[in-house]
Amino acid sequence: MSRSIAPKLVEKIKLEFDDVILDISRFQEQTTVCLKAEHTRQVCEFLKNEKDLDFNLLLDLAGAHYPDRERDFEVIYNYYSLTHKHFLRLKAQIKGDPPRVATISDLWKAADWLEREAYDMYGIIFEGHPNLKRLFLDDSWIGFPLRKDYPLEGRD
Amino acid sequence: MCPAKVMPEKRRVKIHMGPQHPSTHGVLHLVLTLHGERISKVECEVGFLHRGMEKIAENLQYQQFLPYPERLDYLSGLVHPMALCLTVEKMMDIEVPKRAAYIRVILAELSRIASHLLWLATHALDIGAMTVFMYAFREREAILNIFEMVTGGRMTFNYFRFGGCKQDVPAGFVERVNQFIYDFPSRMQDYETLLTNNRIWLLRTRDIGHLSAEDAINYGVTGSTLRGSGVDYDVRKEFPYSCYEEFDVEVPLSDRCDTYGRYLVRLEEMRQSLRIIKQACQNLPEGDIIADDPRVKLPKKEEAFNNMETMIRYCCSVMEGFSPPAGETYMSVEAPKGELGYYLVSDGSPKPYRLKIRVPSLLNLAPLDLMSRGHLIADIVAIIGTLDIVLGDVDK
Repeated sequence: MSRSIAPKLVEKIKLEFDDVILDISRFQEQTTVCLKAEHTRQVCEFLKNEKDLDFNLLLDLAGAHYPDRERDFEVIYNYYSLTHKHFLRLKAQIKGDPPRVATISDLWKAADWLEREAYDMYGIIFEGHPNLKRLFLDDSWIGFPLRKDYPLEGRD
Repeated sequence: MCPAKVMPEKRRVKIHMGPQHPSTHGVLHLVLTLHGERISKVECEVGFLHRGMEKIAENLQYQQFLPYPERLDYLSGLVHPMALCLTVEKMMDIEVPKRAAYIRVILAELSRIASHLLWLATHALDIGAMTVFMYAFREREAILNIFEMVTGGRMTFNYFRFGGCKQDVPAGFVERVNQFIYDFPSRMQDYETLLTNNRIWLLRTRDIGHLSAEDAINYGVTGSTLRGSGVDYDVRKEFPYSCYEEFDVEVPLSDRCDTYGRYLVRLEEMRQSLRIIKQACQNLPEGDIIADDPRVKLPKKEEAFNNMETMIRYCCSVMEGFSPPAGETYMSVEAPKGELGYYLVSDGSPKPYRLKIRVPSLLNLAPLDLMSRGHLIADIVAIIGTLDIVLGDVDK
């Protein structure tokens, strides 16, 4: 009835990926796992394939830009399991220019267009994506609008 | 489904459908690769209606952003601003008074019926049944008149506020809604008579646009499209919000996984929405219309004009807005098109740091290629119709 997950399952994820997880936090009832972006693929495969977790529904994939941090880009995955009815948020924190993270579009087809949107808006390159083109903006557009250094009025 | 002799790649024809096309329900550009009249691939190009909602949200205070969500899915009326209100209320731990919650439910369910009526009208019109279009829009007029009575608007409303509603419903609202509840079931019977067992309708919708449950879940499809594939996922039941747990409602499902199954699901959803509205109207409690929380409730004008401190508070409330605590949350509602979610990151300032809108139509549109392969061009119109997308929603 709420977007939560049993603490022992979070422990399980923590045990499996202790060296790559940066932080596990809880705000209200929702749990967020922050990890280094280089290991996103393994963690996502674990979340999908592990029987107790079975996160089959990728609700949302979002990008974010935190220019004050060293790992300045972030990809946020919101997962829900239809079988076990639990919810988890995964945040992959990326550093580098251009920011790169592995694709998960072969695991969840929903990620196909959502990763294209994150690329379009933030310039995050999803390695292994079959068709990483812009989704909303024109193919000839230069710049990534949702980055914090891109002005609201746009550039010429 | 595919012809016995497959045409070689070089003899396949690519044609454009859209972005200006009466049956794409908006500015959607499709490139269809055909062999003969059979579709072998569909490439979607979206973004013609992209307005940069998320960028705008990062630059406006929360209450300044309130009129924007209803422009996303402009046919679902009040459900989108309700989602934004619920997200921010959750972030700030504001409890909405029961009367306001019930009014939100009534208006949201009326929006759902209005949206499904428009879906039925345009879906039937695209397939050729023009009479249904005329009938459905007659009912939609009744709903839009109710909206106009309460909010002043027919398509965009600016009626919900954080913590409740802008003002109470006018006298005569419950009677008007009851009149609608009384009239609607017989009208629904008219649509069923025209379509449900109609031979042409069955030929055009049965086994068209097959989407299995596993594919639907994998593509992130939600809403009636997912329930038409037999998956029982309805946000109103999974994560009840705004007093939905107090209403007795069934979630219609269909195992057919095709266009006809989704048609049956949406028809039944309209009936279930009517049930919810009936229960809400019967039990509409008295009370406040907005939470008594100084962060969201503006003081009364008389007090503000007569008392200096109240005047200052009024001005500060409007000019500076409120600041939710730093943190992040994901909150979703069951919009008529599917799951509408808001992922909000707040840094403690009056403007959102990141507001990602999880729009249902974008992911509902994604399996179009999978569903269309092997079908005729005429079927693509039926498949787009059954997905029930709104381009304002897809493109944000």
